[in-house]
Amino acid sequence: MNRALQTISTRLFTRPVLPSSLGILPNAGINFIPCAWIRQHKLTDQQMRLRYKKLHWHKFYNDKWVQRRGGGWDEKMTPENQTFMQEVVYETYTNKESPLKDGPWKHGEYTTNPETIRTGVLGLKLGTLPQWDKKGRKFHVTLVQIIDNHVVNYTPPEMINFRTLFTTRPLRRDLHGKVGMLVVGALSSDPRKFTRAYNGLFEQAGIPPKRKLTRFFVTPNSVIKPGTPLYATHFRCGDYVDVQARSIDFGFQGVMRRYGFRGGPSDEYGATKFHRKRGTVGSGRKHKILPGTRMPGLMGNKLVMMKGLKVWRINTKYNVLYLMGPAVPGPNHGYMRIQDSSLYERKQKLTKDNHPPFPTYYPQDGKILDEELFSDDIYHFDQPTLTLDDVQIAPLTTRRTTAKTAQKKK
Amino acid sequence: MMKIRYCLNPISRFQSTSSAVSRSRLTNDEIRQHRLRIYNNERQTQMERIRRVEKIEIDVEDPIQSTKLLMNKNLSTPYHCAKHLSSVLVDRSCLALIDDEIVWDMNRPLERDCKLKFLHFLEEKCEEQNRAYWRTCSFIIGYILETAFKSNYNVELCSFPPPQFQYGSFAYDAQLNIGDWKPTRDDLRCLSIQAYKLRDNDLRFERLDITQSVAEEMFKYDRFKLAQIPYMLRLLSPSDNQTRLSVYRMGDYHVDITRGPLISSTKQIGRFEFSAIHNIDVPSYNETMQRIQALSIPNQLHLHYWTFDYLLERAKKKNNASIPTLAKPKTSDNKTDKIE
Repeated sequence: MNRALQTISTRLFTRPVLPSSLGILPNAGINFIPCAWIRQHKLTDQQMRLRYKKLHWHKFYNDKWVQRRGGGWDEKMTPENQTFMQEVVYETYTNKESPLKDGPWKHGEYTTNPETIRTGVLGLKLGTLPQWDKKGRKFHVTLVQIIDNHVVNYTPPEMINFRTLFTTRPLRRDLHGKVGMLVVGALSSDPRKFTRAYNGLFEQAGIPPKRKLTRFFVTPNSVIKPGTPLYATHFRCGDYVDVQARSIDFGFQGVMRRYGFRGGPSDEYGATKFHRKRGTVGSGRKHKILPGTRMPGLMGNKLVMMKGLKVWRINTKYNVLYLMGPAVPGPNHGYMRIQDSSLYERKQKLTKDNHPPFPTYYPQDGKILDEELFSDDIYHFDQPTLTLDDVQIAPLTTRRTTAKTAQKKK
Repeated sequence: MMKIRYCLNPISRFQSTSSAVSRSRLTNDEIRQHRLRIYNNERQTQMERIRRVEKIEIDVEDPIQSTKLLMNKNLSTPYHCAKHLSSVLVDRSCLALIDDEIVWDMNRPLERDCKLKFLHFLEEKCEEQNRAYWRTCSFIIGYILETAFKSNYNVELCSFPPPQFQYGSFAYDAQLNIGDWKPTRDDLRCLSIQAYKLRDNDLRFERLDITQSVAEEMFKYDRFKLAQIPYMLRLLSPSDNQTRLSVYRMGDYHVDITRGPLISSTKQIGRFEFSAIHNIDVPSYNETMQRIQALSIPNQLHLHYWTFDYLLERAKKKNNASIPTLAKPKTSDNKTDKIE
């Protein structure tokens, strides 16, 4: 249909038709035909599933980049030698100053107009707990620990080629050439567990080698010097957060569990061989099965993003965030990327004066934070108990009267 | 520089009668070939002395296999015994223990009926094996020094100190005749690569006991070695009428004077890294020589690179083992405390 219109337009008008992606408004001129270049910005479920199929095998870190795991064989050392080498490993990384000559990098400024994107943080899902708000309502909260995070490396925007990158989500085209890349690592561990090439990634920053690495794309003003630690107070209580993690692996699952199909009746009603099947697979007269048809297959174990989770509470001693909801993707002890929320409403509330610690939280020598930081809405048990005035109860008496009158009418 | 030195000290201790031969015209390679030729000739003559093949009974005691073997006297080595038993013994054993007392090389012919045990690097008590290993590695440094430099540089090997683990490295003392050369990290790495090439070639270490005249003929171009020969001669067995000197040959490549046992073959070298070159003053020869230090572990001990690097930092410090000295000559059993 589009092509027919195109040919009509070239016959009727001499000027060429311009595509809408160049930013020309629909009422710009007589030569512009809006229907020829309509871009569907809303995709169907099937199309979304096909587009994001790649996420099934996306990994935070691929061994093809730099071989990570090394060592691990029995070195056949005497026990005294083993304890000695363990002490050597601790000593090399305790008092390590940054080997870089120059001092700390200049902190950028938070701007809203050219939007600023801060780093994210790598966390570990611990489990769930119940929490209560000031109205007495219970909700579930996931604990996420920001283990041992350090910034490992920074690449400026000029050195990044978006086309060759394999990222967790397709990056916004308007960011091309404007964002730098920060590599963040979590969980320091023994260098003898890794190869020489992998350990070399951390030498310039002067940090012990990390078990998990990810990358975050940041605007140049929110750059952080490699070697700085990142804490849970990188976020404030009451901030909203996006979480990306690998969901729980359910293995090969049928269609009822995977997509919630209703299946068939039990044997009691005489159903023969149709209890948990998918039913038909065809689509009319087309002699093929449409791509994206829902069938049994591997379920879970793919990158999932949950947006707009509220940070209710922060524990500064153990660097734990309390995020809203029990359904944060992944099993316990699963790693997750945590970033500032990209939802429109949540971004609007951040201004030049009201923004999370920028570029990150730097602990000052004099100031020691409380161990637990609470958001305004949460109820913490140090406060006096909630009374019935605080708690809302739906009145019961009015409902009863309406039901009785209905009966009387009969 | 070399020629001037020779002219200036005509009456020096390390110029014996046959050193009228000027060394400055020969390269290191030619000198090495000369030594090998003399070694081959001597070995030929010693083999021809064995007229009759006599049999000896050897009782092998090993956790893998214990048997009694009938081997040839003065011809079969513990290596041949191991080949009869299993390939595991052939690959991993570096030394042999005779009658639970005497440490014997794997490639040295057996002389009498005895009990044999094979020693490898992963035993509880491996003091002897470790020392033999570092002794072999010092020997290998000597070979690398002779072959690694360009032909216009003349390297004169002196000797190496006995292996002592407390100093953190093994060394070889030599006169490099290069002047002020500070080797960079890449230079040292290039030297280490030569050692890894030897490992791929799987060269065996063979021993030969030679008399003083043969030794002087062999080392006629090495002034330091010539000076050492009179102090190294010993009576190896009570039945022998002449004092002899023990000389080892690595494959078909290199010959050097050492007293103690060396390991079976170069295949057993694991990591081998040259760590540093330091200058030392040697009053016995009136010269300033270079001490080339390195660190190595056998193939059986598989260390992570991080632990090895930590040991290498220690090996870079100056090795304070004994400096080559020529002790006063004694009458019956000549002893020097410089070469092992």
